[in-house]
Amino acid sequence: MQRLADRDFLTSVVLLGVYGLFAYAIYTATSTDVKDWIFPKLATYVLLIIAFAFLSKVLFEAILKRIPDIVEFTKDDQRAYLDVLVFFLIVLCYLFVMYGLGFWLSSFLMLILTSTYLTIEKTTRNIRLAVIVPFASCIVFYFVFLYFFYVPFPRATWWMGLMPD
Amino acid sequence: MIEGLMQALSPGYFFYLTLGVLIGMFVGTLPGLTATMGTALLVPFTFALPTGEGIAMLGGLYVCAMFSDSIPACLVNTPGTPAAMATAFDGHPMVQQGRGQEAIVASCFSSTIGTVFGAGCYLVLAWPLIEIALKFGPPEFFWLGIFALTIIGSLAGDSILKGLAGGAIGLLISCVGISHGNELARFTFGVPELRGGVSLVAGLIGIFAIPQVLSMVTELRKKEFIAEYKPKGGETFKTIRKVIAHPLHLLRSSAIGSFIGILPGAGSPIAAIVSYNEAVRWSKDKSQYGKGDLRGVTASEIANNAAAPAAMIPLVTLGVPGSSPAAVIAGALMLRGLNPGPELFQSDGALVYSFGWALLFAGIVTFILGSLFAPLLVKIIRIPLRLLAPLIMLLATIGAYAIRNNIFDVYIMLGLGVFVFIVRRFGFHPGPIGLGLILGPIIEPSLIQALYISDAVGIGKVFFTGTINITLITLSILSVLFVIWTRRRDKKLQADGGERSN
Repeated sequence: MQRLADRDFLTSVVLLGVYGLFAYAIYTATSTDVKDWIFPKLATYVLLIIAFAFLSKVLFEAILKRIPDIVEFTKDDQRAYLDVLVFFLIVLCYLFVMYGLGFWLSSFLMLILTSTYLTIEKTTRNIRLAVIVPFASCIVFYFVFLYFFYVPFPRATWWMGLMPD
Repeated sequence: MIEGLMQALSPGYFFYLTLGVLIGMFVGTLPGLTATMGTALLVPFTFALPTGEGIAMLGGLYVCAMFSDSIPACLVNTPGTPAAMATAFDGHPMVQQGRGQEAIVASCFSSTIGTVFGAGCYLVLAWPLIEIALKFGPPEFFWLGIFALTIIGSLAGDSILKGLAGGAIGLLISCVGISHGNELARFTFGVPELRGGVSLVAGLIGIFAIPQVLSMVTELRKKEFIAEYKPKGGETFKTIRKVIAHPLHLLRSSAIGSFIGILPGAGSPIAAIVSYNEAVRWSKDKSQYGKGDLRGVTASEIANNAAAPAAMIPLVTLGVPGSSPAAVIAGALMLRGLNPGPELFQSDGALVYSFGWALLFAGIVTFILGSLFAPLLVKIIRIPLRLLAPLIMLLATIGAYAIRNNIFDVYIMLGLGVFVFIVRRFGFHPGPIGLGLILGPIIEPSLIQALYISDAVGIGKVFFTGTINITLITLSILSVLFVIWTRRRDKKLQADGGERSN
């Protein structure tokens, strides 16, 4: 069971997954011209060969009863990955509300939420920084990207007309 | 040439050149804003200026952006433009070791060396070099791409197989979108937005910046900053001495950058990758590459900067731009009624030469400004991780979105970022994946075009004849053999060392 967390076994699973994804698209394609597919086909073959090489290595090591190279997941790791998960969920929500609230308001909220969440020592000074820095950054980026680089960011649709952009 | 020099030395000309350099510094530093985008945005502003000054301003921006893209690459492992990918391999480890200022100054000084060399080629060797470059057809570009792929051996980390797999994944991602043969939609999985392919910039931000941001989040309970930084006096001169201590390395990187810059379509990213690969191959002590070796930063930065002025050579000699920013500059010339090419050389030679001098001076101005700002820029790493990670995430989102104004690119960036973040735990290095993404658009079209040619004359004749093809094939084979040999030797040395310590 421990071997399922072996680094090389997990590598081969990932490679087979990527291979499956791309190979499915290649073999269900309608075009018969070899030139359309020769390059991606070669790349998928490379992936398949390497995946089997890792799988064989894992099997070989299991037969020889060698110690597997386990991807460790300590208590500290669990807490760190929970931080990543929360951070990532906030970013996903940000992308979701971007078209409703408008780019800049949603960016400001994302920055405040993530900065506050990631502030471990929630002292008054640190919280103040977690609000001021996002606010100042958003103002600077707003002027730079809108008035210098003319980037047309998504506008608010939930309160159209009330927000500038 | 002298007339061009006098023109380039006039105060007004120099002022606009410096202004272009300053804007370039800003454009390159922001991930997602490429030199192409910067020059394109600046073109309308240059219409109010005389032709020489306007073009010099664009050239100054282009040259400086090729340096300043190394700033985020070194400080936060996020290449400002694709050309700085190889700079991050050693630049970021240097910053983590508290050598941030050294990394920035080395990058700045080597950018100047590269620019001066490339501009020198533009001024002196334009015609002989272009004759060689014209011999590059699709098969030669294919083999050049394959040769550049052999750098995987240097980037793969502990497992060369994982490096190869990463490269193959990058190449597959680059295949998403319309095919080069029959314009067929490939790997779109029913998503219409994927027909346009994966944006190179968004992809690279995803591969390098997002895993870095997520790593910062995992580390913020252990450390407050990316690295400690204590400003040191005299760092600039010490670093310059270290850089010039390897004259052959500087010459080789400059020559590689200038030559690849001339090849239309290859550009600065390929120049930097090939130069890095060659630096590793020719080095006696390879063990430090990827762990904060100054030569890794200089190899990449010299080549990508040498490629910038060199990309102007086919533009002024043949009317064919050597890179995307060169194409924008060609457009700016054409909008003024000037046709780049041999005619321009004959009709307005002073303009062509003053532009060459402007590029050369832009390199020097870049060094002055870069070394002045270096201590200030390095202070970015003193921003606490809890504030820096969200800010980089916002900049990455803006960068991925701004390149095509498409929110789908942001989704792609995030998806790729999470994928790379996960596979890094299994021992994958992001470098080969990024390399595949950059080289795919060079290798595949060349392969398809060469295959079409081979329909008439045979595969053997197209791919395996001609001096350039044979040279590149030989170099690729030697490169692979060399990687295998050095890895075996390093393993043996490690084993011997282990036995001795036991």
